[in-house]
Amino acid sequence: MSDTTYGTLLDRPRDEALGAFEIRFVPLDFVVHWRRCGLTADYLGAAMAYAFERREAAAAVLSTVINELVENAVKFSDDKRTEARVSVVHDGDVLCVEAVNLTDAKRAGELHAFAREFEHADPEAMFLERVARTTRPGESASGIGLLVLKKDYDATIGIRVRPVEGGRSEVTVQAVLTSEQVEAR
Amino acid sequence: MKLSLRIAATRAEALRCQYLIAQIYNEEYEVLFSDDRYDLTAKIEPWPHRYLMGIIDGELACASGLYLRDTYVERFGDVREGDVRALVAEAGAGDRYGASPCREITKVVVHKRWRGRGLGRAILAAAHTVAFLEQQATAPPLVVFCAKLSIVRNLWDAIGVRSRTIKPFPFYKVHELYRTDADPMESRLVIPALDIPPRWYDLAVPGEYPLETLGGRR
Repeated sequence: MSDTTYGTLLDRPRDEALGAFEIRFVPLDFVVHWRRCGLTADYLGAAMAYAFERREAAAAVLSTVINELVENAVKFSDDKRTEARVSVVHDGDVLCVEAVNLTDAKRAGELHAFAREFEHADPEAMFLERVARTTRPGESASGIGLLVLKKDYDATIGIRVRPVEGGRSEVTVQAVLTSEQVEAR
Repeated sequence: MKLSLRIAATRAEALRCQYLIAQIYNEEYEVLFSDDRYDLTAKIEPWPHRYLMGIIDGELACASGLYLRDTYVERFGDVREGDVRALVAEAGAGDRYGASPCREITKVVVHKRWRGRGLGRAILAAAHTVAFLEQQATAPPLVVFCAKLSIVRNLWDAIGVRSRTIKPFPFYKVHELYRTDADPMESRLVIPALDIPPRWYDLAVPGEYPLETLGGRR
């Protein structure tokens, strides 16, 4: 099977970046203390916010975006002891947050279904439909966070599912914001 | 096969219990844990305050948690002090337990590698010892827990610990992969002096025991 990409994934060289951070982590550490997701996002957001004039606003936006991708990477890692990673790369014009984790065939299938709908749906309508699902036992409501990033932050979301050995998949989720969007709030 | 029982006494031991519990609860029920943020709709649960370790050949094979205060059934199960006191009075134990605090046995887990040997019953029996339940207590505490009814039958009833229904446990998103309509959850009360067999209540912890003496299999 080949890679499947939904939306657009940026592939900019890091050696030209005007700021780049990457954190590798074991998802189980974040399951044990969920607040670590927020702390990681706060740290990366605050560190990257130095590149912006409206630093507090940038830190808040970046923290929200990074937190969503970190939480997703933790929740959808199939083996919680297999390392995942999150990176933030800023090239001056745009800022790219990227999370990468491994997952199993079941979760990959669910992600394909979500991403196909996400790519073309009205984010507001899809958001409301997903929120309604949270009240129904046994129904997955995953993806709400990515919908919020798309509808409230105008983030450009890209998703890639790449089959790897053992029937598993490497999942890459990117959220890209322009520098203006980072400081807009 | 012998099971070594001891209360987690160091940060390393408590963390080993947390990691075992987190791995199992997340894999089976998608539960996440936190010390400072609880949200049962988001499947984020509070950590217990103390842990009991069941060790085989140096490996943590099973564990149980204990809330010393702020129990889950009180915080999330809509159980009021009056509900508990009424059951205690009805059982004729008001004199002994009139002002006793509630503690809660929770997060009983068995490592996947060690399942099928009765370790769930063994670690649960050991969780009903004075040593585990009454640590740092100023008065003998009452014991509460919440579980689905099949677990009550297969664990509590099976080891001979009587439990009394306090009330049905409300539905939360965090339990959607655990409970079903046909197998609902309840909050339950155990009055130690009346409901816990002495062979468990007085069992010495720390200690090492043949598994079959704790209700497990050889």
